[in-house]
Amino acid sequence: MTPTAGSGTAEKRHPVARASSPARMPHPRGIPASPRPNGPRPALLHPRASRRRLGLLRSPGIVAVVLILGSLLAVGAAQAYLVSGQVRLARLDQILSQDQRQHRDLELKVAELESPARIVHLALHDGLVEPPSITDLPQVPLGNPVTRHADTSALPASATAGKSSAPGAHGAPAALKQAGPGAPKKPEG
Amino acid sequence: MAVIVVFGALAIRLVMVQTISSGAYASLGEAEVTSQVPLPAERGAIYDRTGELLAMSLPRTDVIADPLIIHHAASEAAALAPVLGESVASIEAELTQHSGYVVIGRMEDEQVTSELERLGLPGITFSPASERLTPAGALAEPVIGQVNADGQGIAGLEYQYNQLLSGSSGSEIVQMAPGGIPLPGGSRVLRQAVPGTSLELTIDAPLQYVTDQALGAEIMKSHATSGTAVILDTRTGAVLAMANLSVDKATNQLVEAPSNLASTQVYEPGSVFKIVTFSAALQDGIITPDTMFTIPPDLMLAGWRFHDAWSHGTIQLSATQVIAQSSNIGTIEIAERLGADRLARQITAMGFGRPTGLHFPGASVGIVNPVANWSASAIGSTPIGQDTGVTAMQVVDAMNTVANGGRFVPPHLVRAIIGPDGTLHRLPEAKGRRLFSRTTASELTRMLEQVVIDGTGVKAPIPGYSVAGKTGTAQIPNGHGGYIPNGYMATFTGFAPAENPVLTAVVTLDHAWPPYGGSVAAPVFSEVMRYALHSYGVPTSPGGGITGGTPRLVPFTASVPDGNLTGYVPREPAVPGSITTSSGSVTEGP
Repeated sequence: MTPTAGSGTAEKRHPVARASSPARMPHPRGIPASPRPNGPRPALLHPRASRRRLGLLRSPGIVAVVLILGSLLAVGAAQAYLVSGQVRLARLDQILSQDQRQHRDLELKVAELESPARIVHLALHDGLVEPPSITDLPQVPLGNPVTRHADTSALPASATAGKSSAPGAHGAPAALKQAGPGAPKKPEG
Repeated sequence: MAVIVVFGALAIRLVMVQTISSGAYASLGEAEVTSQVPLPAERGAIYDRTGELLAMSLPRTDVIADPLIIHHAASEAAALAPVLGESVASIEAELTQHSGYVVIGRMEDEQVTSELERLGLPGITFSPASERLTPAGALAEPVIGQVNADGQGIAGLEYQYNQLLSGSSGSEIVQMAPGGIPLPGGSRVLRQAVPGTSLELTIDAPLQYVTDQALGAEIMKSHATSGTAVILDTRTGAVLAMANLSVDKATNQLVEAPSNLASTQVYEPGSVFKIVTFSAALQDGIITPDTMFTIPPDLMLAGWRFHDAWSHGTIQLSATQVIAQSSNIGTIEIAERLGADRLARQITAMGFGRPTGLHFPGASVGIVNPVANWSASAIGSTPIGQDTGVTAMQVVDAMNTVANGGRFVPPHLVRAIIGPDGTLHRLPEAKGRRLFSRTTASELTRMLEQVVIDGTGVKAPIPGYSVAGKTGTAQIPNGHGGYIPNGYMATFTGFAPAENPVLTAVVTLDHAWPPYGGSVAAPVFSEVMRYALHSYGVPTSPGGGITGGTPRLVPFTASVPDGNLTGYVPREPAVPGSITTSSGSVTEGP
């Protein structure tokens, strides 16, 4: 520290107290004295000790090591997170694959069960036989229903025997009216 | 000094290996440990028009052995046998083959595959593959087609739409040890496969089944060698059913035909071809339905004698009666008035000698002689369906043109495609073209109704519906300028309801007996159309049908818990008696 004019005077007067009571030093002439703070005196600094700590931190080697270790730790953690995510993804993929496979199996099973050949086979097995012949009901225009009287008049006498609700009776008259010649006049060429 | 030189050389070589040639050596090393596994794309499925599954693929895993790097075949066989469910000896025999690629199993169960993978056996690898399945059995198989062992379509729609159905294969590049074991932590490059597109057909599976059954029953009953039946949606041209059946000569069993006969089999159509002659004559005003013709017993043309299928003297027939009774001589008289050029133009216009629009693999365009090549007698043979080769698909297309009021509607088999994401895209329907006027079609329809009322097609009526149709019975060429003795192709094609057509169909039977289209093909038409019309809820014709199609009724009695029920049921119409063909006299059975 470069001694000033003021400090030189203070050392002469009280050399022991130069470092511990600098506030008591008289102000240099011509410089107005700052007002003394009323609060407690701030803690004193130890410049030499501060310089030592900053020196450690400023050492590039140590910083590098810290950074590398930190990075490695972060990479390790990220890797672990990534791997655990991949494992979970693989499991989900596996579950998805199994479900898709199951869906396809079920789709195939449903298609096999709905196969017309299988249904007909089962129906026949259960006694649902096809009728030897089917009588189709004629189209009846709305507002102009065919009366039963008209129906039976077209039938031969034997047709009216038995129950009136006999199947085929409703379709018979129109069918008889439409019945064509049956056998062809000529075979084809 | 020498040591320095040696070390110097080594240093230079080291630098060269590590810097200049490092890339080449690195790739060589990588090639030693990397392995590319193909990932086959899942093949698209095929559905019918209602979403019923007709064909689909299921993934499987092929277990592949490389015997060249397996050193302990016996121990590996012992480990594999219980998992594969085969004997140790058979697996050991496979593992000791002098080959680098032996498929020792095709696994459908993923658990079994995982169990095999856990064994970690050297020289055993796994390859993903797929298997094509048809849950409805052989239903419509000639139409759907087949795939080969590699999952590629080789016939039918599987072949036609192979590119769409196949999708795009992926691959996986993994690092593996020489023993075939994946290296832990090794790099892995995955390119996902893109699944194929699915098809939604116009085929109606239940109708296809009924058509198969009816056609098959008639084939067996008439001892035919094969048969086809096609049903079209009249307005759209959608193929609702396409049955192709044949009899296996070795076993005498009915089987699905090896190909789609309706599109690939060319035959002389016979009298069904008369609709071409009549449509042109009606369109040009050469005839009306009531135009009278004098029909002699026979007709000589360029030294060839033409006659009708039945013996008669000189008779008078109207144009309607000519087609209803299928008079060859009457038709030839009409063709002579029409002229060869006009007839040839009509043949081509109605789709004969041209692709049908289905573009089915192996489909034939038929054989149509250019008019310049017509012989002197061709004006007699061509209008009655000889000298021309057609497919059943072309015949039904021609009849569908009449049903559509003179407008040709291209047929189609695929209704929509379904993308891998499940999005359904309807395919646009092809535009039709008008071939003749609505009036002509209407007149021809009324004439064709007479075929079913009291002509050659009396076995084709559908109770409740009016039917228009045409029969055909043609000899089969032997390929040497003549015909096969007693070999006939029977055809019936028609549509219903006649006044408002909804469905058009064709039925053909090869080498049937009796040989007539009206005897063997017409009943099949009636049966399948009856089912189809009811199935689609088509209203019956006014008055219950104008074609007299309802057969005569016979009384019946049935026992029920509270007594007997009596009523009337229809019976089969009577059949024709004896007729004479160009090859001799034939008597139809009952």
